[in-house]
Amino acid sequence: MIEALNLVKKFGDFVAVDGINLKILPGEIYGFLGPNGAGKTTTIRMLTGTLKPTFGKIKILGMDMEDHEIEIKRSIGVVPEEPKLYPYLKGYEFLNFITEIFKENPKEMKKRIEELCDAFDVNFLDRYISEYSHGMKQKLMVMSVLMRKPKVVFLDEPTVGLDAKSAKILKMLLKKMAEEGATIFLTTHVLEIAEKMCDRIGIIDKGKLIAEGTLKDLRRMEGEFKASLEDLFLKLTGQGEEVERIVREL
Amino acid sequence: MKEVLTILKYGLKGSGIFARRKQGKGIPAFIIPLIFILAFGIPMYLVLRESFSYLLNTTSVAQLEFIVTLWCFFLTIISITTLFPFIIYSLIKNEEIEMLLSFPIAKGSIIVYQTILTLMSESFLTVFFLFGFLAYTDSMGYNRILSIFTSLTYVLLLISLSMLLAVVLGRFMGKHHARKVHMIMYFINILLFVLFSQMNPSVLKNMSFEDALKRLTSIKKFIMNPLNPAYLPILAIKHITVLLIMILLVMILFILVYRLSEDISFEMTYKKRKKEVAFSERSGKALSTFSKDFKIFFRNEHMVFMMFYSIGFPLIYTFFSKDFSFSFPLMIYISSFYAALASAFLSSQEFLVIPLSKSFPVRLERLFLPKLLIPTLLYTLIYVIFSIIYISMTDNLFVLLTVPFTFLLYLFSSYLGIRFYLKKPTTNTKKVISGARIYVLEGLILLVGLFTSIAIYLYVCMRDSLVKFLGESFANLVGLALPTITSLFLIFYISRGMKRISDIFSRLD
Repeated sequence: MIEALNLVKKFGDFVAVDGINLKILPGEIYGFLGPNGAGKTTTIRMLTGTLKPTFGKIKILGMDMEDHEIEIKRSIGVVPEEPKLYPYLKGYEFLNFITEIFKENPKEMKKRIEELCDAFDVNFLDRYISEYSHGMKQKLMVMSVLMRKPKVVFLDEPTVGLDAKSAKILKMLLKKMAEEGATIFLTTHVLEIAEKMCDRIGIIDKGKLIAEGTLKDLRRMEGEFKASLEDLFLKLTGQGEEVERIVREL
Repeated sequence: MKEVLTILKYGLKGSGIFARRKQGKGIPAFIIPLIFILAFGIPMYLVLRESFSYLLNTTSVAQLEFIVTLWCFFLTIISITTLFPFIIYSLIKNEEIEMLLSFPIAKGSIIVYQTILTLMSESFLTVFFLFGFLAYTDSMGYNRILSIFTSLTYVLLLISLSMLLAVVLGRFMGKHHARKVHMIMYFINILLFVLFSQMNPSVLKNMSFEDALKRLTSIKKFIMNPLNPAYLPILAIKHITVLLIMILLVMILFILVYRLSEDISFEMTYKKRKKEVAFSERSGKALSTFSKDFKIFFRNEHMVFMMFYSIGFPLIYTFFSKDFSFSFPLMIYISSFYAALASAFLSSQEFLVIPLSKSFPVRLERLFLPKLLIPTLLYTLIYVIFSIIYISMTDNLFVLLTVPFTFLLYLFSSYLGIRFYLKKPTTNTKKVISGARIYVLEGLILLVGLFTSIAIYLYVCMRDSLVKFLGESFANLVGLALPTITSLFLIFYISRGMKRISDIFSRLD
């Protein structure tokens, strides 16, 4: 379970996240959407303990982030926006490192890695990460999280760089994990993914959570019962008319 | 040739060494290497011309020819071993190459372009050869125009040979291996340079006259052989046919490079082999951060080079000077500075992967502990090896007393490396600490080194000289009390500093 209470993050005078409240239950897939610079990544980083909030409280799996940061980090999985990995390590060495640092069972991990290698067509673990393409790094990063089967998973644009097959497998695996009780928190710019996958959607703009609910709730909120998520998103963020104007002028 | 000039025209604007020049402003790109060439070349020409004229007056033409050919020989070896790995590495590393490959340009032109960029950053070869050879031909009274033409042809010959080697060997190397070969050759070059510069007639002093004569004759036979390319410019200045052969050779080599380069892919090559991957049997995090940083350390060729250099250079110095009194402080200074750079490099690897590194379930102090301890322990090991060599040559076991002090100096240097890096972190892992900060770092390390390891070394190994210079009581104060007090302060300072490091890192984005 993920809980955030009145979460605020300021960078000097700039307020990146402005009083966000979240409650995401086990088994739920939550889509966190917003335009570029809206505060999605900053929110994820606070929820995962990699950025200290200026104000507010975070609870993951019932544990307070301030008091149980290490325990929380051990229980969650994070796929960051950019797959930045140690360039001097080989793929399998990175996975070994993750196994050790998260104190996972090596035998179980080995089995799980082999399964994931088959699923994602990964046959490059013996090569240095410095030689990987963006997609290869993304696959490795996703594998390093999925192999641990964490109870809470945060994914920031997880399908960027993945081929169609891998993206499909990832989406199905996330669904399966949610069915088994995991909490999934993901951001994406591909609104079709959010529409198809997410149980609930939160839309953030200029640091504020401007709408939250199921797709049905959002449609009801806007009084557009047949609108796609894309239309709703553009309307809620005030970008719909601008898009039409730009296209007209072009 | 036109396409080489076209890509060069735009390439020079964006290449690393000239990147800072704003469009349309400042000095043209070719001016910087030109200034460098003239600034080093003219004084070198004057000094060498003086020396060659002196040799000509005191010995004979044949002997001068022998010395110049020997000089050419060393320069040829160093030039080729520097250039070809550099070209391979640049071709694989340079992201611009991928864009150039999409243009309708011959691959050979891309190689020539990259070689010119390489030459501009490694222009010492041109400087050494052009001005050195001119000094020789001027002192001999040869035609100056012909001399410049000959030396330029020879430089082209060296370049084309290096390009050929790069094209042939580049086919079998991936990015990782290219980087390794580049670094190994760099290391070999420094050793060769030190060896060549230390080679002097004193080596022959220990031989009998007959042996020395025999040795010299055999060297002369090998060096002044028309099959030795380094002898070609000396012959070419006297015989135009040799010059024509050189020109022909350059042309053939260039054609070969163009032909062979059409088949190379400029990609990182991977052997299609399924390697077994070894999954961890270990659980628990105690060693995980250490083993990761240990691997990273040894996979960076600069780190390995620095380790070998910090012992290799003082050893070579000792070998030729037969004196440890200077090589010990030299070793302490070089190695402690390198320990700082190593810890800064390891810290940079953690900065590169933020936010991943912050998401690990470990305290940040723990993540940084290997960055402090790995360089400290490795350089201490090297110091112990150096001390054992010293003991084997001097039977002075007391030098081992300096080890704990040097260990603390390395610990302090590594700590400083992390702090200096985190103060201004960069993703450029080749220049982890740059600008004025590097001099401040060097100064601090030198100062603390003087107060600890060097002071105790002087007290333990050169006590008589120290007492003679400072007097008994003052020598005790400087040689014993000062290192002890400074070391206690270092322990206190570093133990408090680790928390500060994790605080700084947690604030980084």
